[in-house]
Amino acid sequence: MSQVINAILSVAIGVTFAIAVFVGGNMVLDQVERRWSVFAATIGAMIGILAGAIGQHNGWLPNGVVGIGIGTVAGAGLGALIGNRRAKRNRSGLGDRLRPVVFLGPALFFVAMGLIFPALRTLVLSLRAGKRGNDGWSLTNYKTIFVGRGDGRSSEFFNVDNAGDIFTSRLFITGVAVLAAALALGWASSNINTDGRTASRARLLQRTLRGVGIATVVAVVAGFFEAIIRDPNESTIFDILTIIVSSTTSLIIAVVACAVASIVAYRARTGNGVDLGTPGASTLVFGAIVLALFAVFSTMQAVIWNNLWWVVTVAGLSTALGLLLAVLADRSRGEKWAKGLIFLPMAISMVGAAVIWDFVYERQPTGRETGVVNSLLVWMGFQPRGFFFNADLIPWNNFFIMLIMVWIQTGFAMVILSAAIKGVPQELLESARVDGANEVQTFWKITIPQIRTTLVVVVTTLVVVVTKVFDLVNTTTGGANQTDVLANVMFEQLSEAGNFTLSSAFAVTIFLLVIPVMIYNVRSTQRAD
Amino acid sequence: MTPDDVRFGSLGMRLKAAFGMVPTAVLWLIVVLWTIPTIGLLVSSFRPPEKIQDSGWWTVASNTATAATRSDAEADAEVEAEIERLVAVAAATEQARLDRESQRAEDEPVEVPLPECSDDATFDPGALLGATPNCAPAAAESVDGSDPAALLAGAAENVESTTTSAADRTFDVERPSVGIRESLGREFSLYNYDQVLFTESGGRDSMITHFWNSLAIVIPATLIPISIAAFAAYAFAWMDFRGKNWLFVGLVSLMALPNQMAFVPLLSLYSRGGSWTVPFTEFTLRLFPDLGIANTSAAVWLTHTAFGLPLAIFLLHNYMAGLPGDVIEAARIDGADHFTIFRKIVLPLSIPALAAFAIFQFLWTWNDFLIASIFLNAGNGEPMTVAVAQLQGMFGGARTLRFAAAFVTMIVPLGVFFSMQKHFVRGLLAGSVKG
Repeated sequence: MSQVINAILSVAIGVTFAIAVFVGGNMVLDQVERRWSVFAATIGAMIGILAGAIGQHNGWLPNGVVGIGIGTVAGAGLGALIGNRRAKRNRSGLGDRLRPVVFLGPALFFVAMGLIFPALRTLVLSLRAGKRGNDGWSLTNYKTIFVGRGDGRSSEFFNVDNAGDIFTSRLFITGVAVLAAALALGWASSNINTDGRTASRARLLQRTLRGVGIATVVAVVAGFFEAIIRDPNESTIFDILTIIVSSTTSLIIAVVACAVASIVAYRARTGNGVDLGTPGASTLVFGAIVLALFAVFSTMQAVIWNNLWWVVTVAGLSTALGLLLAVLADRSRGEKWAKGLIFLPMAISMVGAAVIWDFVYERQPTGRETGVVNSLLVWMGFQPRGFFFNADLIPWNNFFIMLIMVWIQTGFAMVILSAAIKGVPQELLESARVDGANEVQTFWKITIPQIRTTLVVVVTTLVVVVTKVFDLVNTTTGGANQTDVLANVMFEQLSEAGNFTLSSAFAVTIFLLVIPVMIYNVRSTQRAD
Repeated sequence: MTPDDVRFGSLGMRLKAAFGMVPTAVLWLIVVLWTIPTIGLLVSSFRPPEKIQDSGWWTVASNTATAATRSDAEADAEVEAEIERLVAVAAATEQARLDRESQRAEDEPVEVPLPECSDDATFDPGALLGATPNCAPAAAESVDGSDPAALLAGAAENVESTTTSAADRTFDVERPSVGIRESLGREFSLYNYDQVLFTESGGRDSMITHFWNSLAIVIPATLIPISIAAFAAYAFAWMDFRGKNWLFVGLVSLMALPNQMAFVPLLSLYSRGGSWTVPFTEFTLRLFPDLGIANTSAAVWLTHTAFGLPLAIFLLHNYMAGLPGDVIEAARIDGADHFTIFRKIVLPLSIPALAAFAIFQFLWTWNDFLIASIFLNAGNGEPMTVAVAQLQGMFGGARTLRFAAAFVTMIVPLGVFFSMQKHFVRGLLAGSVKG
């Protein structure tokens, strides 16, 4: 109780103070036209108070009211003197010109004290040596993050030690296969308009490839679940496949890449381009990119790579799921309730969400599973898993924490995209339908281009939010088992290791990751103005 | 009759109708999937600790149905039998352990290892009833899940090591307390809430205390930025001055500045004040006094105020700029100055935007974990999120309390969310992107 009374008191004092400054400022400005020297004296007195306080604080002036009093009197006198000597030429309209200062002053003060100066100071601190930044200028912190501590081992925050394994990871191999399918599909699509025989053959090819695409997606999903539920001691078809393929993968990839590049170049020159714009092909290309990114992030294994993985997974999955839900909700019953329930996780804290999901993934050593997921696994006859801690699930334990974030953020994406979809002009959709477009075509060719800007806003927002993810990782694993992210390392360096400079360097690293998005946001704000 | 109906007849119509239900079905399937985790938490928070550890929350319905068919006497007898069984198992394993230990002691003198999880001492009943196998997670993982006896032994070991000192190894297993006896055999109890809300144990404050702590942070952190931002937003919307657009874009772009960029300097500002060493000299100028607010909730809400301002100014500006210009022009012609216009016209008209931002800032500060854990040490008025995270990080019995604790933190935001969903969504659509 007492804390709340204190808080209310501080609010009362704070707000009264703000209003007093505001009203007082306005009154002072009202004097500009009528009594110039009074205004000048007041400004002088205010500067004098500040100077007196600083002087007193540094021990140059006597303590107590005296120091501030001296400053006030001196400042007022000086102000009146200058005010009397200044010509009258600049006075007219000065009150109106200075009025914004009064309106903006408090906000600018808080922003400067709480954001701008601290940010600059953080930048400075990150470039200094010693835990508190007392040991001169140096790049030690950035070296620690990006290169290593100088003990011969590479940095645990960023390294490319596992880069060679990317090409042999099954995700990457599947990604290459999907990309090949996409290129073939695009090639087939571009052929349709030539003549009847080619067209029918192309259509056959297109259908086949669509089937291949769906089969690949199913295989990837199956492989993923298989990775979760299989006994780590058993080798599976996927493992055998990986061994067969991986030995020759690098060679094959090189050959395929050269072939694809030359085909694309040739067809671009002859005007028979590969059309990757069709829904099927673009989906496959997207899938291939996602698979390749997952391959990179799951093999690289360092804090920064983890962070990037978070961004890709959560921003991608949340937006995709949000879009799906928005479309479904648009043509469903009980839309309002469904949206409210999906959106609900946005309202609760991430700590709460971590507790909720830790329980979903819970594993009881007694064998009597109480977590939903493990109970399902046991019921289906598989081994239960410790989803955050099992060694053979690393690095996929990251993915299970990311799913919590997806659970939270999908509601956000859905609400915004849903509003955008409802804003698509009905006439456009109607005319497309009249022209014979089916639902899928209308969606890809009309709705998506119409809500493009909103999609970009959703994705950039999610990217910014996810880059700074902290609460979920800190409360689920605390960064153990290779699940660490930048914000958590920053926090640990600050509150546990007390290493202010390294912590600052991590903050700057997060900032650097956000900068591209930030620039983009500023530009779009300017464009909107 | 549409052409389709003619072609397909009534079967076609029925098929078409069924097909039209697909989006609704898929949507609600996802909604159910989305809601299950939260329901699990809610149900579990009302279950007695030993039940939480023993059976899934979805068995509640069937268990209650079975329990309803028993008479009171039968139920009592069952509870007694269950207690006797648990005590017997604990006693037997304790005896076995003592035997093992004395055997080992004969071979070589071993130092008795310290209990690994001291938190258990704060919560004996749950611990006694087999709630502690998480004590050493690595070890727990290696325990063969199919052998409950081994696990109970593990549990009993933990109980023993926390309730008796290493030197005094009498054969004595504590019997369950009254509270746990009452909850035993029941599917639902308020035991968790009682423990979480009103019991302070082992240096852990009650959730009620943390609730007030949260309020003490949230109230100033919501009201102060609103009052400051309203002035600034008015200036950006209805005043003309040089560099206005530039300044506004600068302020708004600060929304994307990661809060992490400000933590380290703010921490030292609150604890030591601000000073500036003039470059190339040893001369240090003290610029900002030490306000003595380190480790107080004032440090937290001041930080929230600064971090919330860019969003507040952005939201309020967008709203105020959309107010009808004629009204404001007319007022100005009638001789009203900016302050009067702001107070009498703009502020009353901007209530919806103020509400939208208030809801945002409220939820954001109430749910905040990072800023509170950076600026507050343990025991210095931490809000509820920090307390729940501590429970989550604990091993052993206290861990079963985390569901009730988490639900207590959620009640307020959920209430705000459901009662003011419209404002919330409106604010979201107005482009509120919090940095």
